[in-house]
Formats: sequence, C-alpha cells, structure tokens
Amino acid sequence: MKLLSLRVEHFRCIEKAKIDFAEGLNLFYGPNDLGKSSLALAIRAALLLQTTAKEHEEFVSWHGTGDPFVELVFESEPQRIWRLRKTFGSASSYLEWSKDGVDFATEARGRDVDGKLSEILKWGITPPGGKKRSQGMQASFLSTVLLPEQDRVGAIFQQGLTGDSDESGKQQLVAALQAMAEDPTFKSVLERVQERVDIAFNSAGGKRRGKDSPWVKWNDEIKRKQDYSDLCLQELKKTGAIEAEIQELLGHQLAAKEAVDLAQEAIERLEQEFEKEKRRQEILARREERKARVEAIAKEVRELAEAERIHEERRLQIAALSQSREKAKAACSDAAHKMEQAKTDLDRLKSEDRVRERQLQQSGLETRLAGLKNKKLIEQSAVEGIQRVKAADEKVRKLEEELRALAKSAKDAQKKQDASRKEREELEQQERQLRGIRALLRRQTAQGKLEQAESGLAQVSRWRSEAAARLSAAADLEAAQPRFPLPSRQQLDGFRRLESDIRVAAAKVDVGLSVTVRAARPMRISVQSDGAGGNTLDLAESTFEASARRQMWLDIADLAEISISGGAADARQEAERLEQRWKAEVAPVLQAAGAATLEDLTTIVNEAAARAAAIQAARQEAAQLEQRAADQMDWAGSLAEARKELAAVEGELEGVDRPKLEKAAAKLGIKTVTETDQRGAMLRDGFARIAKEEKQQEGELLTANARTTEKQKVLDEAARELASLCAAASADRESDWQALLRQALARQEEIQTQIGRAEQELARLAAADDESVAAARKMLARREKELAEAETASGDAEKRLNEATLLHERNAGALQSRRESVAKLDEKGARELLERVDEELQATPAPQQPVSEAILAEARGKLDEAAARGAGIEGKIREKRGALQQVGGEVARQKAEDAGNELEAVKDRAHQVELEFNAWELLRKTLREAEQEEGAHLGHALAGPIARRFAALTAGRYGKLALGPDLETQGIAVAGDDRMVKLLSVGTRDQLSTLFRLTIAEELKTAVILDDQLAQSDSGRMSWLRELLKEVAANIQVIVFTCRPDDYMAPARTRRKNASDERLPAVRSVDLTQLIERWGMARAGETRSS
Amino acid sequence: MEDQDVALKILHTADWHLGRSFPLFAGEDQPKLTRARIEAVNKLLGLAETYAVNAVLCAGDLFHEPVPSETWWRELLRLFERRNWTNRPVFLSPGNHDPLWPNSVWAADHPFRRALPPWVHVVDRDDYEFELSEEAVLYAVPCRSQAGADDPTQSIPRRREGDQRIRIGLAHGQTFDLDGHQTNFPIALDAAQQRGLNYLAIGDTHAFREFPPKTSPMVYPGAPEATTFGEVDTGFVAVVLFPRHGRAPIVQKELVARWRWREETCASMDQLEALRHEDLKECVLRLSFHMEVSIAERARVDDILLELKGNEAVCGKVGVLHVDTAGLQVNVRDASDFDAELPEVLRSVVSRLQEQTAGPEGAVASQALVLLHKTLRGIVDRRGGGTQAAGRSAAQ
Repeated sequence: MKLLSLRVEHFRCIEKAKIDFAEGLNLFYGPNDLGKSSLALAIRAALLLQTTAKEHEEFVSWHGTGDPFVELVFESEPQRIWRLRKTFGSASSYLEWSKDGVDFATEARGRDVDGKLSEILKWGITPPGGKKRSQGMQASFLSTVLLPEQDRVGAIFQQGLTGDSDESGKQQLVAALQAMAEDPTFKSVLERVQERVDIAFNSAGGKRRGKDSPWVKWNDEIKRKQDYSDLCLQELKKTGAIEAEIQELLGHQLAAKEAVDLAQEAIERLEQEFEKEKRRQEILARREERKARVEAIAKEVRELAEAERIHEERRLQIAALSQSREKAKAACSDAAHKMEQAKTDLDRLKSEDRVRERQLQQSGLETRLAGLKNKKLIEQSAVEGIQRVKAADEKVRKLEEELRALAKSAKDAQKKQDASRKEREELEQQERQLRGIRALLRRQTAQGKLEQAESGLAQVSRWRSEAAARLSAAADLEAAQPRFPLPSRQQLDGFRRLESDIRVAAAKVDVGLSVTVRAARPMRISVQSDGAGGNTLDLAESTFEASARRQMWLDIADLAEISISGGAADARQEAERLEQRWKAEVAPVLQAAGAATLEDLTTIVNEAAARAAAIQAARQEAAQLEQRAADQMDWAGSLAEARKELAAVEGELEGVDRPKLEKAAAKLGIKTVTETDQRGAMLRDGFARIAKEEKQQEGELLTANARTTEKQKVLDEAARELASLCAAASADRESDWQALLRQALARQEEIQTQIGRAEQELARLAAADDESVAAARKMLARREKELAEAETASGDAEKRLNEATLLHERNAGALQSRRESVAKLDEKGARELLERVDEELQATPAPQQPVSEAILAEARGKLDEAAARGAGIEGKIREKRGALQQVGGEVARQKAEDAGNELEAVKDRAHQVELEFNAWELLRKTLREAEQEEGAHLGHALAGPIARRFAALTAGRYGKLALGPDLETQGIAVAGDDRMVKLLSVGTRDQLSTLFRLTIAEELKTAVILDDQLAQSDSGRMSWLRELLKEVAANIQVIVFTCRPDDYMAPARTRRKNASDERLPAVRSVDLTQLIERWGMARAGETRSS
Repeated sequence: MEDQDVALKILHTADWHLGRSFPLFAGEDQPKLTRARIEAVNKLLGLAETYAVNAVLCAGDLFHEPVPSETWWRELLRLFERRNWTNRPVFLSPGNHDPLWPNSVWAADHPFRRALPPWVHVVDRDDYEFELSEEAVLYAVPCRSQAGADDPTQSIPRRREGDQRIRIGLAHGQTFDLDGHQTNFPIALDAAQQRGLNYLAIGDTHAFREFPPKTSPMVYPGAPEATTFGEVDTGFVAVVLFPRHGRAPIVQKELVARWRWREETCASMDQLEALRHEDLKECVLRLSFHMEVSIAERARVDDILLELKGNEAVCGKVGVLHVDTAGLQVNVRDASDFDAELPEVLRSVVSRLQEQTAGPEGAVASQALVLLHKTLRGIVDRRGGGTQAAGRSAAQ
C-alpha cells in the first residue's frame, strides 16, 4: 500500500491542509506546534476510527467552526486506488475506488466504509459489528507498526499479534514472511532433496512404477537373480540326489556280481565236457584243411614257371630301348656343339681388340670435343671480363653523380642556417620591446589598484557608521520594553480559553432565582442578590419577593441565614474553580501589566512583540553591515601593495622612451599585461623553434660533409678498379663495350657448332658396332632352339627306357618274392602234417558223458539272468552318472554359490538404494514440516533481518532480537544473554523499534509513517539510519514527519558510498509551513521539493 | 644345470576361466577383471618363450563355460596366432567347466577349433597320447561332463616293462583329500605312481598345490588370476624341468597374476586413512567396516572412498574396490557436526531427525541426517566455501 494524498480541514489546530505523497522517502518538516502530529493523527483517524466515535471530539477545531474532515487517497495494489472521505461527528463517510486516480466510483458509505477498510488493509481489525471490535480508535499490531504515535514509539515491543481482533493481520504477515523464511540455503537444500526424491517417488508420495523407477529396476534385478539362484539350487539338489542314488546302486551291483560268479562256475564245469567233443570235431576239420593245403602248393609251382618266361621277354625289350636312347643323346651333343660355336662368334664380336679399336676412334673424337669445350670456356671468360668492365664504368659514373648531389645539399644547409640566425636576431629585438610595454602596462594596473583600494576603504568606513546607528536605535527600543514578564502567545491563548470557560461556567449557574417569603409573624429580613449590596426590611404579614440571576442570600433575623445558588452543584464548583484559576493565573498578570482586560493585555503583548521584532531587525541589520564590512578585502593592505608595485615599475621605466613604447603597444594591439605575457610566450616559442632548426641545420651540414668525404673515397676506389679491369680486357674506358661483347658472343657460337658435330660422330661410331652383335645373337638363338629339341627327344627315350626298367624291376621283385614263396612251400612237410592229424584223431577219445547244448544253454541262461541283473544295475549306475554329468556336479555347486552371492549382493545394493531414497523422502518431509512450522513462527523469520540491521547500527553490540511466534518481543541478546528491551536506552529503543517497523513494512511492501521517532539518536547512528531509510525507500514508501529535517538530509558520513547508492531515490522534502493553514495564519507558498 | 642335462621342459597351467563374469563388481571394474584373465594367458605364454619350454600343458577349465562367447575364444586365438611355435606344442584339455561336449568350443567343427594353429592340440580322446620327444610322452584325459564319479587318470595306461621314457599325465579333477568334493572326478593321491608317471599335471583347484613324492609329483598350478576373494596361493603357473639320469623333476612356481585380492575391515578412521598411503593400484580390495563415526567423519569416509575408488574424471588409488558399508555406524546424536550458523529452520530439521533416530525408522532418519550434511557441504562447496549454513568440514 502507498499513500497518494491527504486533505485535512477543521482538524485540531489545522484549518486546512493538503499534501501529496510521492514514492520513496517523503520528508515533511516544520517547527513544533505546526500540526505535523495532527496530520499523522488524521491519517490514523481516517483509517482506524469511525466518524461517529466519541474520540472524534479530540479532533474538533480549537479555534473555528466546522466538523473535522479528512480525505485520504491511497493505492492498495496497482490500479486499486481508493479515496476515503470522513467527516467526524457525523455519519458522513465515503469510500470510492478508481483505476486511474481520476475517475472514482463509490464503493461504500457510512458504517460499511470501515468494514471495507478492514478488508482492504488486512491489519487484524474486525469490521464494525464484529464481536471483538473495540470502541473508538482501532488498534492492532500492524496499525501500531505502520502508523505509530509519536509518544508511543515503544508500543511495538509491548504487543504482538495475539491482541488483534481478527486473524487477517497475522495471515498477511505469515504469507509475506513465509517467502522470507525461505532462506537461500534452505531453499537450495530443499531443491536438491526434491530432485533426489522425484527420482523414486511421485508427487503423491507413492513409489514410482514407471520403467525408469529405481524400485522397478532393483526389483526386476532381484527377481532375475532370485530366479537364477533358484534354478541353480534346483540343479544342485538334483546333483545331491543323484549322487546318493549312485551310492545305493553300487551296493546292489556288488550282490549281482556274486550271483554271476556262482553261475559262471557251474557253466565252466559243463563246458569242460562240452569242450572235449568240440576238440574232436576240430581235429577232423583240421585234417580237411591240411589236405587242401597240399593241393594248393602244387598249383603255385606251376604258376611260377609261367612268370619266369614273361620276365625274360621284357629284359630283351629293355636292351632295344637302351640303344634308341644312346642315339638321341648323340644328336643332343651335336646340337650343343653348334650352339657353342654361335656363342663363340658372339663373344668374338664383343672381344677386347674390337673394343679397343672402337675406343681409339672414340678417344680421338672425345679429345677434339674437350679442346672445343675449353675454347668455349675461354671465350665465356672474355665475355664476362667485358661485362665486368662495363659494370665498373657504370658504377663510377653513378658515384660521380651522387657526389655532385651531396655538394648541392651541403650548400642548401648552409643557406638555411644563415636564415635562422637572422630570424633569431629579429626576435630578440621584439622581446626587448615587449618587456618595455609590459612594464608600462604594469604601471597602469598598479595605478588602478591604488585608486580602488582608496575607494574600498571609504566604503567600509561608511558601513561601520551605519551599523553603529542601528545598534543605537535598538538600544532605544530595548529601553522602551516593559520590565515585567509578559505572557507568551500560548499563555494568552490559555487565558482566553479560561475566560471563555468562565463565561460558559457562569452561564451554567446563571439560571435566574426568584424567592417569595410570606412571614408567619413579623420579622426582619436582609436580602443580598448576586453579591450586590444588601437590602433589609421588616415583614409583618405581607409577602416579600426577591430575585437574582445566580445567587441570593437571605438573613432572617435570629432565625436563619439562607443561601440560594443557581445551577447544578458541579457547575457551581466548576465556575468557582475557574474563578480561582482566573485569580491565580490571570489576575496577577493583568495587574502587573496594568491592563484591565485581556484585550488590553493582548495589545501590550503585541506592542512588546513588535518592538522586540524591531530590535531584532535593527540588530540583524547592524550585524549584516558589520559582516559586510568584515567580508571586504584588506583594502589597507591592497593600498600598500599597489604603492610598492608602482614604485618598482617606475624604476624599470626610467630612461625609457615611453611615447615610443605606447605607439608600439597600440600598433601591436596590446592592452593588458596578460596579452604581453601571451605575446612573450609566442616569442619564446619562436626562440625554441629557431634553436631547434639551427641545431637540425647544423647536423644536416655536418652529415652532408661527412657523406661527401666518404663518397669521394668510394669513387676513388671504383676508379682504380675500373682502370685495372680495362687493362685486363686490353681496352680503355671510352671503348664501345657493346661491339666488343657482340664479337665475343659470335666466337662462342661458332665453337658450340663444332662441339655438336663431334658429338654426332661419336654417336655414329657406337651404332655401327651394335648391328654385327645383333646378327651373332640371332644365330645363337637358333642353335639354342635346336639343342632344346634334341634334349627333348633324348629325354623321351630316357623316359621310355626308365618305364620299361621300372616295370621289369617291379616284376623282378614280385618274381623273386614268388620264387622265395615257392621255395618256402614245403610240399613234403605238408604231407607229414596231414599224417600227424590222422594220428591225433585217433588219439582223441569221445567224451564219457556227453553234454548237450540244451544243458549248456540252461546253465548259460542262469548266468545270463544274473549278469542281466548286474547289467541292469550297471545301466542304472551309468544312467545316474550320465544324469550327474548333465546336472553339473561341482560346477552346479559353484554356480549355485555364485548365484547366491550375486543375489545377496543385489539385495544389499537394493536395500542401500531403498534406505537412501527413503531417507531422501524423510528428509523432504521433515524439511517441509519444519518449513511450515517455522513459517508460522513469525519471530524466527523476522528476527534475523532485524538483528542484522541492529548489529550493523550498533557495531555488533547487540545480538539477535528474540521474537515469539506472534512477534511478541521477548528480549534481545547482549553479551550472550537475553535482556529486556525496556532496559535499553530511549534512543536505542527508538532505533530498534524503527528497524522493526521498517523491516515489517518492507516485507508487506506497504507504506510506513514515522512521526519524529529518532529525535533521541546521536549523529553517528542518525547518519546510518538516514542511509537505511534511503535504502528502504527504494522499495517502499516511507513518510517522515519531523521538526529536524537536517537529520534526514545531511550527507552520509559513516557509510561509504557505493554503486547501489546511485540507484537510491532522492529525498522528497516538503516544508509543511507552506502547506498547513492554521487558524489565524495564512499559507505562504507552494510545496518546495528537493 | 646345463641344458643338455635337461631332457624336457614344460609349462603347466590350468583354470583360466576365460569368460567368467564378476557380478559383485559394478561399472568399469568388471571388464578390468575379465580382461585380466586374457592378460594372464598372454603373460604365461610369454613365460613359456622365456623358458623355451618344450610344451605347454593346459589342464582344463580354460573357459568358464563350455560354449563361451566368441569374444573370448577369438581373443585366445589371437594370442596363439601372435606366436609361431613350430616346435612347442600346446595342449588344451577340457575341464568340468568346459567339458568336451558335441557343441562345445572343443568340438571339431567349432570355428575356434578349426582356426587353431597346428601346434595347438585339443585333448579330445580318452586315450590321448603324444610323443613330446624320443624321451618323453604325454597321456591326457579330457573331461566329458561337468560332473563325474570316476577317476580320469585311470584311463592312462600303466608304464610298460622297460619303458624308460618320461611319462607325463594331463587330467582335470579333484584329489581325494578335498573335503566335500570326493564325487567330482576324484583323483587318487597316488595316481601318478599307479600309472607310472613322472609328472601328473592336473587342474581344478585354484590354489597352487604339489603332492609327493618328488619323483612323480602331482601338481595343481592353480588359476593364473584369482576368481574371487578368499582364494589363496593363486596367480601361478608351474614350470617343470625333467633332468636326465633318472633324477626327479624340478617344479618351479612362477607368478603371472596382475591382481592381488585382499579383504580389509577398518575399525578406525586412522586405519582407513592409512589405506590412502598404500600402493593398491594392482589390488582388488574388499573394504568393510566395523566402526562408529560422526556425521562429519562420515563425510570424510566418503571423501576417502572417492579417493580410493575414483570417478569418471580421475582414477582411484585402488585398482578395483568393493565397499561394504553395512558395518559403518554413524553417530547422529551430536548436532555440533552441523554449522552453528545454520538457519533456524534447518536446525529444526536436524533436531526432528535426531529425535526419529531412536524410533522404528531410526536407520532411515540417520541416513537422512547424513544426506542433509552431505547436501549442505555440496552447497557450501559450490558457493566457494562460505560458512553460512554449512556442515562442518570433516577434516576439522
């Protein structure tokens, strides 16, 4: 909220006032008793008091008529501008609203106005009609904070929000301070915690179930690991069961083996008998076999004879093939011979003699070629010599040209130097003339100063005389002033009020009295009316009547004295009391002043005041004249100085032709010393320039001379070199170098032609030799081909011979083997074996008790049965072992163990994650709870900012302000202990309360009014507070009423100015004497702002 | 000993477990450990070159699964392809983890098997026999299943009368003396003597073990890289020299592992601080706690753990770290762990949480206090170390 304007009429001492409020710091100042506090009261009344309330009587104008009227325009929020008009002592109350502050519409009237105000302000004030609303001026914590009374600065420490008549004030503060309670650190913590919580929990606090949820992720992981672990355990279980079964089967296998052994023994016995018969049958079979063997040997002998015949035939074939191979070999040898001949021919062509002959021819040509090349080099050297002479000649000519240019340059430098010297002499002449002119002008100046000092001395003397006259007049007026103490204007006002009150009191007892006395017997009666003289009369039986306005006294002789007074007893007492006051306070003053009435006294006082003003004016004027005289420069000193200067200049001008100098000055247009000095400075610049030029010219001259000498040396050297080269080239300097060069080049070209011809001859010599060699190579190639064909034919013959030999040798090996085999066939032995088998047959008897196959089969059946049982068990064991191999055994055990470990690890990790997220969630909840409770504890939110400012103000002397949940002040920390605020000094308490108010107003972003609350502050703290007010006023509207504006406008001393100060608003200071019309005093001007 | 006195040199290894995963470890720690297995194989092959052994015997469980992913067998192939050992055969024998199954990596038509260089041999017959030289012969038995009740060495023929050669056996199984493991390919303690072997090279147990007698020892070389915590005497291969003149073989234990596996339980902050100064670059450390710390110290613990473990930006001081904080108790009753300048509302939060630590949700409340302290520290760090509303530094 901010205030826009206030208009007050007939309000206490104010007849009329109209003030406008601005943004930021509004400083309204004026002397005591001007009505500043009345303005503050008018604002309070407008906002907090119903027009019909009894307290309005305090606002009634002290001097005039008319009901107190207040119009307050304020803005509660942007585009919500309210105009509040209240005429106290009537039901006239209006509240209008506007968006632009120009066009207003009525919002409420009469009693509704205050209800609506409660709603707009939200200051904890119940609307009219509410149960808790008190009578008269409404008060709440916020009204005390924002609209404090001047004499109740510390009231803020004595109440909290608990005393409010409704909750609106607290609610407004809670809303504002909760945002403030969000400490940056707390906010950062909460944000980070919320980020972590959001990963795992939804906004309703439930666990997230989406695909990114950590719960889902870990549950899935655990389930996956659990399933795998279960699977492994299942496999492991199978392994254990199978291993146990194998052990059991091994026992059964042992029993089965014993049964098999018994059956086996029975069979062995039967089989022995059976074997005897079987052996006899076997011998018979062997006899047949040996008979067949004897016949096979006879067949082998026949086949060997046939093989021997075929072998002999192949031997003869090999001999024929051997002859063919020899012939082919001879042809091959002949071809090789011819090829060697061709090779020899080729080698001859490449022989040393041939080569040497060719080399001789080549050498002759090469020698000639070398001679020509040598001549070419000599000619080349001649050409280069001519070119070198030409270059040396050009160099000499160039150097001669440069030498001429240097001589000219030295001459120019000499000329410049002469010109500079002449210019310097002219400047020296001008300088001498200028010094004379300057002395002349100084003389004129000194003469002027002399006259001015004499005039100044005379003026000072006049002012001092006038001041003495003014003081004398003031002393005369002072003597005419009364010698008794005169009442002040305030006292006079009091006297008038007392006189008025006496008149009112007298009127209350001036009711008119009338007494009728009927005497029952004769009597003497005395009567006095209204204090006038008595009247005594005797009554017989007649009736006596007497009357008075306010008091009557009857004395009935010897019977009674009757005193009758008009009006009520309290009115009479009041009248008496006022009379007594008159006698005690006014009468002595009138008597001392010699005045009969208050009007007389007023005239005396006014006259005395007029005289006092005249005295003060005369003294002020005298002081001003004295000050003016004192402010004048030291004219006597100036006079002495001027005289001294004049004498000095006269000395300088002695013997000088003054008219000539004056003419020269007029010609140059010089009128002042300054102009002389300026021209002198120009001359000095000229001197400096000429000196610089002279130095430069001297340097240039020296350089030119040095370069000339150096160049001459180079030229001499070049001339010597040219002469030497001319001698070497057998020419002189004036020869035609171009013609000589052309001749040398022509000779060089002729030699090059001869070189080309010699090189061609060399090439021809090499080509002729190459043709003979090519023919010899062709012949050699043909011979090589013939040799290859002969070698192929020889190879084929060799191959055929080898094949035949291999076949013969292979058959020879087989024939040899057959011969050996037949040789080993023992026909005789075979027949003997046959005979031995016959003998063996005869020696083998038939069995005594033949065993049939059926018996044997039966025994074998029994054995098979036992073996089958054993095999069944063995099969089962194999089966179980196979099963064991499938389920994994030790590998399964390791897998199960690994899977269990993995499951536990995942569970641990999931538990850690769950614990952590639950901890984040608990932390978030706790932060929120604390935030809500701490936000409701307004003291915690506000104490810090206030304490920081207070510590800064008091240089850390005081610590934290202890505020309760409803902002009730509990104490302040000093040196580690809490102390009662009331124990602080008045000034410090005022400052603390001001900080308290400003801080709350800042948080509520509303205007605050300070009615001269810092009057007890020392200059140091005032300076700090002044800066603080500016800072706060950058955010909210601050309205200060004060009689000491300098406290708020003086420049800052204690706080260093910083960049932010530039942004602070200027203080708007308003002189209220220009705005407030008091009774009997006219408003003098318009608002003055700075 | 002169070289001519040595009739044969072999390198005996087993239990590479290529392809084994380490689910206990997260993030980049897993590949560190899995890669280490291939690195160990590379190292042992290098060692074989250094010793110029005559053969390399690999006694089973070379892969962790019978059908490992291509990544593993492809990389093993590369290791072989890098070497051109024409006179140094390598024998790969299937174990119970990677048995000789029809579809396994050892099957004749498996791409791994087909791509093996000719000097790398797979033991794929029960009567496998290979003449290493005129003086030495190898008998090997493959595992054909993951479990078995028979002694695999029984397939090896006994020494014949007059056979003077060095006889070496290669098998995979467990000796009878191992409690609870009798049924899985049990190998008799005197199997080498029974079969007339000069050396029985076996695999399965991950620790290095040598069984007497010296004249015909039976040896487990153990895994060249440990597979889990608690394994002792792992990380070795056996280099075996067979001298002439009937002398006993010389068994040399050679370390090839990169990682040391270590378990540590800290009972004090000093003990934890001391770990920072140890060289643990090649260590797989399981760190657990048995101690109580303040909230501020808890923050310090986190700092040290970060230093040991590292993060995305920087390597930790420990090669691979596994932390178990179950035994780390935090004393949350002392509010002085939080800054005295803490805003009132946050002090209230601390008090409320401290009250809850005694209740049923005490663990959650304690953790919440730790998280609050950590969050405050993070905020202060971001602000550049101001004291306002900060948790006290644990280093104080």
